[in-house]
Amino acid sequence: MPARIRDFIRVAEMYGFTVDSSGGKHNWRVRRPGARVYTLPAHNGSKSELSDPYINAFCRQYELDRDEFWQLLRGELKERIS
Amino acid sequence: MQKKQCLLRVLVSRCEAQWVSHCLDLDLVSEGATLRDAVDAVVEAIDMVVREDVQQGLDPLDRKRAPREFWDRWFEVMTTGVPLDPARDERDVSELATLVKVVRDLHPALDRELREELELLPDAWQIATLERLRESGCARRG
Repeated sequence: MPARIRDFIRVAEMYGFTVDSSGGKHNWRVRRPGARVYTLPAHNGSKSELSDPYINAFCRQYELDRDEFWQLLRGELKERIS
Repeated sequence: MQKKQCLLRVLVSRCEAQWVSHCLDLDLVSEGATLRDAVDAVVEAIDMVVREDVQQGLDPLDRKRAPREFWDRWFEVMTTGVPLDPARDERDVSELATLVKVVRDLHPALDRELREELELLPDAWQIATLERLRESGCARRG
């Protein structure tokens, strides 16, 4: 099920990420101190929807608990457990 | 100027109403409303992370690679697909495997990267599988 980009940003911020929307036509940047940058597909700007493969790859890249991340995205969890 | 180049493998698949583009060497995923947009989006994403890594003195190829299942899909498309005909309606395309070339100029004395350029290989290198394999799309993507 796709996730809305604003929900993704809300959850990513819980993990200490910031989003930089400048510089790209198709992508924004996601950063966390001490970690490599990752990109955020935003071809429809703030109305973009993110696919499951993107969310899963993001979690792999930063070794985040995928189930927890999805629960936070769906609003089933209000805050991080891990 | 000494040049160093590498090829990054990209797999593009349908996922619901979007196309998902995945650079396997960097485990970097982007998306687009059309096949071409998805390819353009992942080329831009690669450019962004390669530049940032190089600016920080990091080797982009040290990033984690995509899991094995995606590599298996990429090789399957490469071996069973056909060259993408630009005139073909993208609704006929199920998956696309392609390559992005990264060329880095190296400082001759320091072996340090000075700049890098990205280039999507020509259409002949864009290998597509057609609609018959569509059921292998989004649902099985990890």
